[in-house]
Amino acid sequence: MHLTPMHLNRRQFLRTAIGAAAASSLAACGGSSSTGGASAATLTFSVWGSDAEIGSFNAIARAFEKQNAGITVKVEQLPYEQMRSTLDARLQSGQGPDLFRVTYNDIGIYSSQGVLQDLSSTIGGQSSAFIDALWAGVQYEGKPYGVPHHTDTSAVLYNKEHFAKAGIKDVPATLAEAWTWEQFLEVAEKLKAANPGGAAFGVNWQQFGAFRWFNWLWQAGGTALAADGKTPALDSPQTREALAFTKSFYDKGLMPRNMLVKTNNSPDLVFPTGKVSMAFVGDFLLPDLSTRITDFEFGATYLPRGVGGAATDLGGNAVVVTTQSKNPEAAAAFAAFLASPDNMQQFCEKTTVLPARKDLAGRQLDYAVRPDLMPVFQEQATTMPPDLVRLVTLPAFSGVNDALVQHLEAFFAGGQSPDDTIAGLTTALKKAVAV
Amino acid sequence: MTAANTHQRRAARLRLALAAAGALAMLFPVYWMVVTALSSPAELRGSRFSLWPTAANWANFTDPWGKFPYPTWILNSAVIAVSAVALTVVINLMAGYAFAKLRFPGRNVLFLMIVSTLMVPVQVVMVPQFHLVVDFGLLGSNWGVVLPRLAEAFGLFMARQFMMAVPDELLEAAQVDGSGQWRTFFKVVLPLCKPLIAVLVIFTFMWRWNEFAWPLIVLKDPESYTLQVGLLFLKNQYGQDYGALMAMSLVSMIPMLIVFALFQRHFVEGMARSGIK
Amino acid sequence: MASVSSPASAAPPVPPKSARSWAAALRTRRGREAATGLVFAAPAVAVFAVFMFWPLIKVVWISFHRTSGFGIARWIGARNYQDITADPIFWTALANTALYTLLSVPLCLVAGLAAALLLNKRMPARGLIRAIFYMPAVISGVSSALIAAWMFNEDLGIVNRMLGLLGFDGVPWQSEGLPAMLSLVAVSLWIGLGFNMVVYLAALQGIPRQVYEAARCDGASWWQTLRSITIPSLAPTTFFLVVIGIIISFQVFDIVYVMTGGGPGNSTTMLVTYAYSTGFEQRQQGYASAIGVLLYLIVLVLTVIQWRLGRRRDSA
Repeated sequence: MHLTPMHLNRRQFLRTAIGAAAASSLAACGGSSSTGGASAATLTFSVWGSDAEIGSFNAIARAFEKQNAGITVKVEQLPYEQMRSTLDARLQSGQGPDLFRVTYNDIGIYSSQGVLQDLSSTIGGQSSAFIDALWAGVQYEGKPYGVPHHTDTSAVLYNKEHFAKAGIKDVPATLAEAWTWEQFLEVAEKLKAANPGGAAFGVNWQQFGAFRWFNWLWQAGGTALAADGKTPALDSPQTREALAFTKSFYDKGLMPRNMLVKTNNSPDLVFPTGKVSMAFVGDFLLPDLSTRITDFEFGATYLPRGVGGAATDLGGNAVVVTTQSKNPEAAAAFAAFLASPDNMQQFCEKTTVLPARKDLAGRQLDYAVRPDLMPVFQEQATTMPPDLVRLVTLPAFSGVNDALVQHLEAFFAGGQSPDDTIAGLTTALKKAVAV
Repeated sequence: MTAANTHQRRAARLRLALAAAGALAMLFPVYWMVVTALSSPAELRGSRFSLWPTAANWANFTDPWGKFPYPTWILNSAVIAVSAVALTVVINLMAGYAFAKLRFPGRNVLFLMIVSTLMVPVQVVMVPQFHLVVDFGLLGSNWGVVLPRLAEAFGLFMARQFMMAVPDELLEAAQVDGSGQWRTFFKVVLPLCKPLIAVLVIFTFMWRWNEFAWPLIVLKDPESYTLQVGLLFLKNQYGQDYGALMAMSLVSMIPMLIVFALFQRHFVEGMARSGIK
Repeated sequence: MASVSSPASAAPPVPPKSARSWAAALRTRRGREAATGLVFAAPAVAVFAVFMFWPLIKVVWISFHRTSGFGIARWIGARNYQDITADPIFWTALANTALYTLLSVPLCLVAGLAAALLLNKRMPARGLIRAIFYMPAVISGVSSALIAAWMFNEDLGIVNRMLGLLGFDGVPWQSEGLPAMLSLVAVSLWIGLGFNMVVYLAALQGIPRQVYEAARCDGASWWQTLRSITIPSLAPTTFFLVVIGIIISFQVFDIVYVMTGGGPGNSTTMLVTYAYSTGFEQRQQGYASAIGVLLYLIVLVLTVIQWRLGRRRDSA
């Protein structure tokens, strides 16, 4: 097979031949593409999202178009689980969108590979407007590569009927009253006894959410990196305790055994079926859940706290501009527009997430769905440990999350020892800090 | 004599009962899809369950239908599947004839190389194939979905096996009559190929219609997505809301089932004559 | 199609010196046949060269690189392959794939043969019943996996509900390794039975009727006929189905991806799902490509061995 010497020529030839054929017949196929040169003023913004989020993104896009004549913003919705593979493949071939939505965990891998636009000259001037931790999250080598758009965090939703049946009356109403680990287990046992056939609760550490397991580590008083921020410090009694405690959820039948880490069977999907009495969920799921839950009342309370106090995860997303954008200025302008006080407030209110701006953080937002529950999330959000935030926004953190998926799953269900689990996670942490 | 007859009749009845039971078992998952698609979420998670639908809950169909551009997606799937079928059938018929009946240099090596790609999982070559699609400027177009998938070894293998079974004498007779290879192919070989074409159509349509990972990566515009890609959205959005998932799965299956129903009569014959023995 | 209908335009440009010998060759019957053959095979060969052989070469090339994220790749020789031999998940995935194949292929064969024998006999609605047996094969992997995930759902699925009705405990299809594997095998049987049946049906039609009549005259029972005539006559078909079955089983992806995601633990992680998750989820395309190359080699070796065995048996 003598492909190499001929390859360039043939490739060029084929490109022209096939390209011409494709162009002529595509037109007949229903005119789906807008790839012509005239698309100079079209911005593609790739996102995943719930109905509320997509609706909100589109509303903001229309407002932007009104203010900027000649610019069209196309909000492209991708399925969440395929978001990475699809975006990666396109970016790899220089075919990325103008902007995309990205988690704080994932932004690092993109900024470190040079596919994101340095936004120093546009959003850089507003650095003090954003919550420090989030602003730190979009930095790479001292430059901002994204606009913090919102944040979200986890708290516990509970099924009021199940609680009544189990005779549980005092649900913590303030952060200070949050259940201790022991109290949480007691409540869970009562719920399990009162609702045979179901499980007491589900924790949201599935797949891309595996990093939420760190909440338990921090609650136990543990940490992942030493004070220098570089040396893995997982090998501690606290880690062992957090591992043993979380594994006991499955062993005691308190958490459904089919809700492990690799599965996509997450608590928010099962909670509406009444098969779990409590669900650890992010606030962004409230709009969806309140339409899906029709046959019982639910409330919200705080994550349990351990000897190390309360701790919750940094969730949420930033918006980034790619270096492949043909209209980088317009794209950066749209990113800034999304993060303007009014638009951010509108987005947060519609989709029940927390704002990324300091000036909005203190304000009472008019949430569209279950405004009664949002204060719980807002208060819980004050318990994000700063070093945990730094950890999850490391450029290479997604590798740590992958390792968590692998090793927690093996530890919970595959009989892997705590030592091997700690060793495996330590290796991943080392790799992550080395980048 | 009558004893033997009743024995035979009893055996026939037993066979029919067995076959019917097997068919019911095979049908059950699809039946259960229908029941699920017509049930409300509350029914699906209730502690009691019913083996037949208790009420028709059409919301499972109308809700997702209203949220996503299904008619467009169906049309896209159809355009992709039909063009892939047409091209694949032409390419495989020609190549099948060449590899079975014409001697040319490199024939056996080429054939073995092609057949050995049966063992390549599509996920493994997806990335380099994607780069090719980009190089050719086909990203986001239906051609980008269709062209790489024309390299489908199974169809070529079937076509060659089928053509091998065409008697040489038939071809020689045609050539003695003064027909060239082209005439022979069109006048003698093609008319014999109906069952083969049925097999190729069913397989190709099925594969192209049902593919999801590849179209998602190649197609850039949600307006140009296919039905199977749409199912992924649903799976993400509806999670455990199996009513809606099953409803849209059913919608996505119907065109495939129609094609199957149309061509299945020739199907067994096509498989038989492909000389898989 | 214009280029196809005129073979002359597709003939390679010939240097003047050998033009006469080319022309002479084309005038011979052999030469004409070879030219036509090349033209007929050209579209397929072109498509395979561009979209299959070239990507395959590239996969092998990538497999000798360390890739992180996208873009930057570094040549590391055979390091990926060395790492794989020390990667416990790879071996688990290989063992799982082998187990899945060992369960799924024979089950599909036996069930397919039984269905073919049954439906080879005349009966009412035979065509319809055959079509129903084959139907699952035309349903997409995603749809099949979705319905199966729902039926095998531990809490709400119909399978466990029926078991409960009969007084049994629910089976932990989603939370224990072996049941999860068995649920995958069950789905593979549902999907694959029809293909095996159709191929067996086709082969059964090729067995001469006289052979059976002779056996019946000799007073052979149904079972004896099956063992001494039918099964031996079907041996080449069985061989074909085993080869194809192994090839397909080693590439299982959709149903695993949707139903179990490779869990619980790694108990249903297969070679292709592992390659997919390292390549696309963990962004290590070099490593994933190396897994892919090994997978290809394993299946190729298995197939060649079977082919050898098959030939030896045929010639014996």
